[in-house]
Amino acid sequence: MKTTITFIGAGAGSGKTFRVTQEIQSRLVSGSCRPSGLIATTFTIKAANELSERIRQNLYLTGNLSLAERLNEASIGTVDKVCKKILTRFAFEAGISPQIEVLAEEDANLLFIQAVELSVSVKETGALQELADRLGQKDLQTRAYAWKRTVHQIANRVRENNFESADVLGMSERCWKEMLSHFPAASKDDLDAELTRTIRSALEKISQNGDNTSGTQNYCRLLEQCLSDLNNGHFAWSGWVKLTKEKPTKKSEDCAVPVMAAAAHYEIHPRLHSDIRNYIELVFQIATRSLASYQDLKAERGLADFTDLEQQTLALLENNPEITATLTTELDLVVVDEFQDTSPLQLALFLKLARCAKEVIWVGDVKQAIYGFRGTDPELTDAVVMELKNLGGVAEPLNKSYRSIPSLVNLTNAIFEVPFKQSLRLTASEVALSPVRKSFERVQPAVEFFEVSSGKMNKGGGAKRIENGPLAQTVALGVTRLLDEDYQVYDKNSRQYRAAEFRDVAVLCRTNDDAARIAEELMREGYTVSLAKSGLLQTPEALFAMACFKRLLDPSDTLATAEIIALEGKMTPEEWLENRLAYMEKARKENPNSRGARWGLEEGFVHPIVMSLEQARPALDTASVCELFDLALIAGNVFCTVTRWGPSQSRANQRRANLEALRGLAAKYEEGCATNHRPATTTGFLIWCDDLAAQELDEKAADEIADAIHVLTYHRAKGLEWPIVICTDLDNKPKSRLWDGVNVLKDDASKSFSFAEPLENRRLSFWPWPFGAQEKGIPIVEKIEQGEVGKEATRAAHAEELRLLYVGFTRARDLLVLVKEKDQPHPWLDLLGANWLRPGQNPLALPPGNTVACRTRELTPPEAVQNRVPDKEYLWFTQPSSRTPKLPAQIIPSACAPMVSAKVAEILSFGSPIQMSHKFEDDTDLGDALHAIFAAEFTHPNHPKRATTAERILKEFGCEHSVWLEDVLRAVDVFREDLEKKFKPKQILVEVPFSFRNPAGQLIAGFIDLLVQVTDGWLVIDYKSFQGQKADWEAKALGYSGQLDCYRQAMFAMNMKAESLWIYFVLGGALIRVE
Amino acid sequence: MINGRLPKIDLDSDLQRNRIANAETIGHLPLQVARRWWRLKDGERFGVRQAESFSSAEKFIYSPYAWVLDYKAVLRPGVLSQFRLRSENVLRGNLLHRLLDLLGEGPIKKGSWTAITEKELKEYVEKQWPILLEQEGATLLLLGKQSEAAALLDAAKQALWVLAQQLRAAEIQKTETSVNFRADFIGGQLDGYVDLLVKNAKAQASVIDLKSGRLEEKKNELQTNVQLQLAIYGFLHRTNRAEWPFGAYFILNSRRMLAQTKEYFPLASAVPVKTGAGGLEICWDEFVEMWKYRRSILDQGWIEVTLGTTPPQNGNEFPGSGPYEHWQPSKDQDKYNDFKALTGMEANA
Repeated sequence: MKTTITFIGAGAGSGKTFRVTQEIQSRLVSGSCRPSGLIATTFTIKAANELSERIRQNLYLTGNLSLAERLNEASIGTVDKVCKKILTRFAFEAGISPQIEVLAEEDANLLFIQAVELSVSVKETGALQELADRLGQKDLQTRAYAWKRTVHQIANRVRENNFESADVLGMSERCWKEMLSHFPAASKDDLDAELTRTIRSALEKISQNGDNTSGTQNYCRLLEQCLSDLNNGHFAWSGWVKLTKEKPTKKSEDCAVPVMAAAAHYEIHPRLHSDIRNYIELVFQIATRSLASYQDLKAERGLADFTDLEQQTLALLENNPEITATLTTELDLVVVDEFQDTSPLQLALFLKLARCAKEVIWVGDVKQAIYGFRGTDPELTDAVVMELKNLGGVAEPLNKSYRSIPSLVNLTNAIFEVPFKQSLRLTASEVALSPVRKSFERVQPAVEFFEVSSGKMNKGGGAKRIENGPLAQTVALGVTRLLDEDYQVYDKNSRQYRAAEFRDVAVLCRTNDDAARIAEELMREGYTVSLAKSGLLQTPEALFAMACFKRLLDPSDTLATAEIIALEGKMTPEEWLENRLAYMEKARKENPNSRGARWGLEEGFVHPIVMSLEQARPALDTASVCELFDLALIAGNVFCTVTRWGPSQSRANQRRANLEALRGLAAKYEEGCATNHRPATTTGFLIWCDDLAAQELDEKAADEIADAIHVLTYHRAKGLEWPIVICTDLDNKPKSRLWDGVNVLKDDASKSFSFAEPLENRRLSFWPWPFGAQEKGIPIVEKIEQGEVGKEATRAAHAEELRLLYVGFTRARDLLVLVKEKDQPHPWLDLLGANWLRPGQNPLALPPGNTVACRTRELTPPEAVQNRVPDKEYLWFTQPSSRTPKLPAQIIPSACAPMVSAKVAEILSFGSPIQMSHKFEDDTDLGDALHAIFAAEFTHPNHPKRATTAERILKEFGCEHSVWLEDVLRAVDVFREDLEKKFKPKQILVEVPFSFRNPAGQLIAGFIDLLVQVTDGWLVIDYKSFQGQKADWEAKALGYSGQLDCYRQAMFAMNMKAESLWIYFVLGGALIRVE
Repeated sequence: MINGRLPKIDLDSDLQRNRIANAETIGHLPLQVARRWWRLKDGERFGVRQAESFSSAEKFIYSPYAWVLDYKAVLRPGVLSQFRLRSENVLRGNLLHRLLDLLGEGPIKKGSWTAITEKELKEYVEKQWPILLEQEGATLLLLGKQSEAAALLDAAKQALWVLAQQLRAAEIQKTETSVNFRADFIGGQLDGYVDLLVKNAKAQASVIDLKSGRLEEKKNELQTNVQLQLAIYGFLHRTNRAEWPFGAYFILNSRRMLAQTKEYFPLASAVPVKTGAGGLEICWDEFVEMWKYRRSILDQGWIEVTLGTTPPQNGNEFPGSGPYEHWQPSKDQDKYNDFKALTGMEANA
């Protein structure tokens, strides 16, 4: 390594962003890093914005204005953004278009699903399904087949690790061989026949022994079903396992013994072995082919996803020495934030960039590496940090905590020192932080236990386990009590102590479902809850908005009309239903097939929202999906209506935030259509919303500073903090990824990590769980899990769960609440090995000898829900604010309205009048013909064939009988003479084209009939074939003032001075100056 | 030079403190909370319809609010919804039913369920499948849906072969598919299509209704003897052909024939009645009583909103209760409720 890489370990709340800002700022100010020589990658867009804004602000504050302004030259952003910038610049060398269109994550997922479809034959699907049925490779709740998810995971891991497709198939062979190596050798006996025989025998014996107990009858039904499935070849391996455990009642127990013995042979069943092998091989094959199809689909559409950007950048740096040479002269500093969350591919990329940069800083916290489940590799990043340690590239870790009060810092130090020493080989100084904040003057607990119990006892003693619903209610009760007690928190913004509010509390849950349950109970108690969870489209505000949208689009949607009326809340169900029934009765008398689509629009019942939506319908012809959605929100008075629902100000805020999230979806839909080159349609948007909801991707608005209790998962809490953090689900049992997980393992376990080849020595592993819903009492599984492989998987899982716990505990600034259930095990918490961390002590004694103020709150499920009193009044805009009307994109000068301030300044008898044979209603053709003749005459004056030309023009416009040719030619001659006499033109221009945009951005284009240059500028003359009386000339000329003003602006745009503006009435022979 | 931090503006907070011009005070107008009972002035607008089917009869019994909103208030989604994809379950069910019809019109018409071989059956289904998809399941031809279509075909082939074996074991002599019956009943005219009507060697008839899934729900119906669909088809058969038939569900996903006994279908999974006597006739009689009860309360203007959000104890304004407690709506009914936004929200929704 030529470049020095410095790794800065940054524990939770240790001022990481501050330090990174300082490191960058000092180098920019000292000149060792030019703004254009800086690359800084962050994990999220939000973090990138925060970092660049902090640097910019500091530069301004320290007087480095020029540097602050040049900060835009730096590449500060997420890894994909930085890669896109590099690729755009070196697109030619990369062999790609510089116009890189990046697929959003959701769109990329949809495209991959299509790629899978293209890669699987009907036969393979059938085979996969059959295998999946027998192996139970299905979601236990939805019964959906798991293979698509597995294929997607394999494909993701392949790309994140830059594996070659050819190698992947070899990896699948190793997978099944390794898995089956733990099974005893396959038997050659006909085990199906043996089981069939024993089942039949058992059924026969039971039918003869007169055992009619329900237990035995159930057992017989099970045997019959198993027999039927065995005959059809669909008998699942979970069924074999089940038969080893199920028994009839005592009288028939003996009959079941041979069945149990025969079923226990599943371990050596050759079909189980082949099912496992075939399933693994198939999912790997499909993943490899799907990846190829996916690449083709993207190439066809000219698209790239995030991983493509990373892969292509890596390839660019690997294969183009001239590019690395260029970057080497340019790159001064590369900073990588959240290093522990980098994927293997990103790591390889960072190492390449490191070789080009003069200085490299990686910042991260191995204690917070919690994304192993989605492709990061904590083992790999650990190995890198260890290597850096050996090379002396690890700086002193940031060892101060700016986040939590001293008691909490001491508590987390005491809790995590030992476990992290064991699992991450970290020294005490690398784990412990020293507190910077002061303790509260007021004595109040820093740690609290919610000791919950069902309130019911088991027969054998001990509290009965509390169920999920009541547990959520109990936690909600604990929150209520806590907030009722005037607990003090420190307000970072006002820098003062104050009573805790809703917004200060975060409840952390292990899974999204757990979070949804807790949120539901809190909401039931009337709290406003911020939960980043799907279900946006099912919220009342979304239902109302969508109903308005659907009614705007389609008046025949009577369901939408009813939804608007019902949800608005002014009418009870009885009122609107009576109204509708009466309306339908009348409507059906007139037309038996009436759908009653004009309900709410007719005399007797005009509903303001329905009417307003009906009146807005003309916009359907021209507006885009987003515009129509906004129109529906405005015409439907949606924001005002949902604000009135309350029941509190903060809930009203949240409802409006959800509406904004919906607007965001409409915009996202349009953007997705644009990226994928698909038309955006209103129906398409509705279908897209259906899909989003079905895939649970319709996330509600959630904001960490919203005035609400925050409920979220431990994973989502990373990088955030709150004064009060309540950690739930500590009884969760850590689960290893040995089964069904697509894992990346070392190819050769004895080899260690190499900086030179970070992606070498790696392979994929996938072992499908073959026993469906059967989880316990399976000897072969117990043997594998207790063996080396199982232990290693468990160790990795425990290590990650430990880190997740660290993330959760360190989110608290002032109070950490641990939810424990009385008399129940807490496997997750037990990973800490901190037996001293238990309820019922005050103060809580920490192992180093210090203490922390602690409180234990015993809680049982509440008897009844206490509803909070709703707020009576809300503030909102009852009248929609006036909106700037949309201007047309293009202005046609002749269609411009006359100007009120215009006046006629001069009327000259000019040229010679042209007599007409008769009057016309439509003189457009005559006007065009005269325009053409005047233009020809001014372009080629005194042309020898002028009469023939003029005659031809009149004929072509069908005006040869309207006027006399001689009259016309004379009019042209006299007009020209008069011009000469009156204005003494320097130059005459005919049919002058122009095109410009006015300040509002509208395009104005056209032709000026005649421009006559005089001393002070140009006369602008427009011909008109007006047939009216002399008395009407003035009014008629003023009618063209808008058009003349356009010409004036055009002259200005062409840097030509319009001296005066004139209308020439060709037929009347009058020149009129308009001002 | 900028001195200090840029101000943070919290619009929500400013709004609450009335610091935003033109904002006005508006009163609280809460969402309508879901209630178990709606009371209209009278029930004169809920008169007898021209004809009822199983779906409408089921709504009348289990979701009277949906019956009123759908058939009397005629609240329907707009034409745009026709372009939205049909629920996958409905599509699956329809395709499988059509395959059964095609089998009935094709090889089964020529031979019989007892004669057809596995190879013949599967080949015929494979041949018909692409045509059927083009005509009635085009959404499964979309990119992204092919493996689903393939999986469905595979499931259909296997299920129909299992069905053939079931019929063979029952010694079925005659089969009819999609048989339309009409009959008068207490609620007017009843109309229905029996998926599969079979006759065994003893000339006993049985109606079979095909379901793509919902195994547990159907088991529960049989256990509590509220297999309404089978009872309705049974009644229609009795009225038209003077005999109460046997009844069974065939669940395509799990390839199971479900019946209360194995008397007719020896290979069926027997799901005996938990308590009391079973059978279609008893089920029908109870249905008639339930219909009378529902009709009587509707005639008084009472509409019951039978949803998970409005459990029976919710308010319980209506004096009295139905004749049978075991006639309860399925737990899944809230999932497929088109009128969710009309029936009121949960408190604090």
